[in-house]
Amino acid sequence: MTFIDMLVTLLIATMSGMGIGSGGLMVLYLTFVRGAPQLVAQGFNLLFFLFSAGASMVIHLDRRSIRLPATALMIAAGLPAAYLGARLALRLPEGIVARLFGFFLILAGANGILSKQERKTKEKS
Amino acid sequence: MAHSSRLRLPYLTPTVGLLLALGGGAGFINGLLGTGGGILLVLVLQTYVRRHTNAAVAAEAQRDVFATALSVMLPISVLSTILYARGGTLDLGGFAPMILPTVLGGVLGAFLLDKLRLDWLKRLFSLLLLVSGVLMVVRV
Repeated sequence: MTFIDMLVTLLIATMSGMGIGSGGLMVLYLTFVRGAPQLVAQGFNLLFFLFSAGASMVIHLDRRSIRLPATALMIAAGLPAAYLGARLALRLPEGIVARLFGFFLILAGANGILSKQERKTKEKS
Repeated sequence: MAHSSRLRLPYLTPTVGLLLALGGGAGFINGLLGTGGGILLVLVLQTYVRRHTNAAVAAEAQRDVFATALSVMLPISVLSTILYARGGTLDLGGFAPMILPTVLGGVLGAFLLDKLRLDWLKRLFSLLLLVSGVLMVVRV
């Protein structure tokens, strides 16, 4: 790991704290630039998220309104589903996981572009 | 005070079934791809707020929805991380030097969220994801 890696990590973590959904960016950096295998990059990104989101939450808990019952319900359903997802990721060929990740990026990117247009349209009307 | 008005916002009251489905979907994506669950939560919850309130309330609620998504994805990501570690795909040693920049960036971003207009950055980021996704699908 180099100084550039640390700088890139700082930038991506800052974007993550601002809610720009930068998990995909970290995986892309690790796979495309650093040549890491897909699953290693995904594991690295999970660690990255725990620390960056954990740090952000300290600030957000003080400034935002979070509905705890709704949050608890989503967590309750999310834990067993995450178990299934991770088990599947570890069993599937890495190329398939990488391709699924690519499809996810396409959907996330398209959503980011399209949802912006929708908001502007509403503001104008 | 801004906080008290936020607490009364009429959002995040979807049915139990929707919340369970949403949490389940986000959890599955997080386990499968190591990211992405939060985007699903933000997308659906923000759409819900927009449909049940108005544009002004939805805009104000945006940051709260984001914080809610983070609070859901944190414990789920802990489980996914443990499972990836058990599967032998976690590089703890490689990540150790990144802890400090990661924590600093996370705190910095949370502060900047209230101070910056993010529209252009989000658009650029979305475009980057789109292009990278196509490259990734084609490359594999």
